Amino acid sequence: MNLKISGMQIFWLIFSMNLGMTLVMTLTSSLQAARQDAWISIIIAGCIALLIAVLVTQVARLAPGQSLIEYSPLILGKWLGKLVIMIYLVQWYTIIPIVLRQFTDLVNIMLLPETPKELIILLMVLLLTYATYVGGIEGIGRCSEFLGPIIMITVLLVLLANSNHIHWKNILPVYVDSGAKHIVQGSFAPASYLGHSVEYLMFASFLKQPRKGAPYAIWAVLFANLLVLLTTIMIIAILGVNLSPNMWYPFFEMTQKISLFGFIDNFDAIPVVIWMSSVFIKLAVYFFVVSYGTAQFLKIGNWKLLIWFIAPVMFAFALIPQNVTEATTNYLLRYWVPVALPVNMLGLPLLLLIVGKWRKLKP
Amino acid sequence: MKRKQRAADPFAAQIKALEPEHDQGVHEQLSDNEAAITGVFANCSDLVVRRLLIFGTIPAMIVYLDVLIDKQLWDDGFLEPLMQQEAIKDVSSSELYEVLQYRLSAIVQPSVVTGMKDIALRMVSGESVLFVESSARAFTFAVKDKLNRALEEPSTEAVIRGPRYGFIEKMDINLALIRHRLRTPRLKIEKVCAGSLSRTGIAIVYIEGIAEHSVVEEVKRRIAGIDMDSVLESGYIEELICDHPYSPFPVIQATQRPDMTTGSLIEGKVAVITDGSPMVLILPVTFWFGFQSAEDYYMKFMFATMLRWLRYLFAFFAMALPSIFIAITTFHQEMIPTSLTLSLAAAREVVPFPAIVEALIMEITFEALREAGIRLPRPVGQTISIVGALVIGQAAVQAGIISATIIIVVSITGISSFLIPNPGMSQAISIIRFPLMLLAATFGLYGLGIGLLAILVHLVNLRSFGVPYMNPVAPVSTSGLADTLIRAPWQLMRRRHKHSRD
Repeated sequence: MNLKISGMQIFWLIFSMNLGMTLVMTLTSSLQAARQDAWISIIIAGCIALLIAVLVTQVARLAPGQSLIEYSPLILGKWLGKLVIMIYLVQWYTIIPIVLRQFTDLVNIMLLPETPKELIILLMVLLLTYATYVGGIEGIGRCSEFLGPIIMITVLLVLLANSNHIHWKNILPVYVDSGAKHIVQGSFAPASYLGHSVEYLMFASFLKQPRKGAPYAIWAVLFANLLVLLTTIMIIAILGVNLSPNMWYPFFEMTQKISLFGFIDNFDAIPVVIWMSSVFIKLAVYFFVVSYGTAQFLKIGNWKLLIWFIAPVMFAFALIPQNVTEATTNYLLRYWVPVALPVNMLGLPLLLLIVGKWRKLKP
Repeated sequence: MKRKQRAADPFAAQIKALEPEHDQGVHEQLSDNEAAITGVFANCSDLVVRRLLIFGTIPAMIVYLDVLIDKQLWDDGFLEPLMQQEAIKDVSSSELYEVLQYRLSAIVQPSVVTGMKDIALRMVSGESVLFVESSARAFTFAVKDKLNRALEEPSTEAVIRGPRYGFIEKMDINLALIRHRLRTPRLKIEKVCAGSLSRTGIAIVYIEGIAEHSVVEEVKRRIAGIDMDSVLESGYIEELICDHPYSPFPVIQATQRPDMTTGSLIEGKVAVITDGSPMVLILPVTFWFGFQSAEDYYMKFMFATMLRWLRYLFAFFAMALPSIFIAITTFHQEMIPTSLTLSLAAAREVVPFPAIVEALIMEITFEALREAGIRLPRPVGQTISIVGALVIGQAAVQAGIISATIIIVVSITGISSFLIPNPGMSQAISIIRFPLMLLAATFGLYGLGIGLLAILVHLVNLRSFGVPYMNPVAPVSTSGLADTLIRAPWQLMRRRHKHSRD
């Protein structure tokens, strides 16, 4: 199997990965911190995410055609390079069960209140195993090319269908209520989720034209940022900041408010199903990155073998958190924001970039 | 293809096993030759052996299989002129051949053969063999019967606008139909044989310079790899040479329309024509090809675009409508408007089954009726299937076995599946409907979503002779989208869209 993806596929991959989870999982903490100024937080988050995208595309440019696992030891030396890889592996191995669990909780709450979690997780893990095993990054890329536009159109349609509920006064007053500290605080969670372009470090090596991937990745982050920003503004304007910070999934609460022509009511199940496909792409990418990365790291020739190990492990890990709070809030606020964002998304790419450039200058 | 080759030429082995001595040269004596031929064709009542004198004095013998000969042409065009040839003196056998060839221009494809095996092979394909006394060579000539039937409109691919005739079972005619529409020497026709007993002629047709050379080579390679006794229909070849025999989706298109085939050839595709089958295989094809009809290109582009979208929409319904119905009525009743919920509930009040059982009963019944409609004698077929469906449906609703709503759902699903122009695609979608229904019944819209994603994963990983199946949507190509999402007006489709390979 030749694993090659095109620039367009990079765009839709990063776009779908960033958009789905950010829309649903991070807005609450942003709204809690910055209240009606959460949209400013989103702008800051967007800038951080763009910075990450620029950083990682620059790093990927250092060694076109190679993945992080290959060039990290080359740039940083054997032991430090392996340490960096370990840090990333921790990130990848922990994100899958958490996203699986967050996803399952959402499906449980929104669609299937009585179905056991195990079954929901199992079905998704089976699908992921199938997608990764049969298609690898190539198949996932094509899926994203098909699903990405559908996700984008659905989000836009949801926003459009809600436009009759907008109360602009909910946005006011700007800034004075929250202040810079809270706004910046509110930007961390969305920034950490919009920063998923860091996986570009891994899949840049599968590009047909490794040097031309950067603009696609940056545009994808930009588009996802814009849609998240638009959604945040709509959520504040429609739901107001007294209600929305207390909701688990303000985006879907908003879709529940859609009421058109007297018969389109309670159609929130449809956006949930479409949103599922965005989560599917994100998880499939991580599944691939984990199995491929681990195989490269441990020098195992056939990366597909690892799927049979990773799939059951992820299934079991996803069952560990006791409740929604543990899965959603704890991981986000204890690991993802304080560790993954500064270290994995900003620090290490910067380190790789500086050392890499310095080594290139030095003959 | 996975089976091992039994012998270099299985047919040769069989001939040898039958009559070991007949892989030998032509005898000088006519009687020896006669004995050899009647030995091979023992118990073949259609074998004809005729002795005659040619050029006045030379004893000769003609053998052929009666049923394969065009008798009119044989008598008038060959036998009569042959008998009337003036006597020539002292002519050697090699000169005799020259003379025959020039004097009897009515003889089709004359050639000289020396081996008995060759003769036997030629005879079963309809050629006649002329033996001459004291010559170790024989002459063969083809006066084959062209078992024809009239060109008719293909019943499975009818159009409103467009040519009315379709391919028939005779390969020569089918090739002529294509040649008549593409008058260029760049149209190449390569003939090969498959099946050790049937020795079915297969023609690989493509346009030089437009068709991808690697695809042509790959087709030839895969056809050469076919190791079977008989190839009776193009369906054999389709299954044997396609990339994904275990996928429900057709990665090779079968059509009966010459205009469709010609259009595909111009797009750079390769056609495989099987002798004895009116269905011509087109490859490589993409998923979207299953939703295109040749007619799309004959009518106004706006209407054609509308039709395409109608097909995409109803193909989705044909696949997922029963499962959406099951999912919503079982798990997500809140999505249905209140008044409709009430009437649905009222209709289902008397029904003892859950929605999935209802839907399964009706879907299976519908598929059975459809199959019965094909098998029943033609005049009653349609009536029975319509009346059967109506009567059974009506009675079932009145008896309270199933609700009226499910009848509506199943009918729409059934009609939708007939909107898909390609029968293979229609079958694929009909099969997929059932697992989706089970998923929807157990996991609601979540299960349906997972099912659809799984189908998408399957589709994007299919390939048809190197071309990704979901091309040009995934991987995306703008020029291809103009002929997939819409049917762009001809003025805008300047450049020929070629399938990208990667």
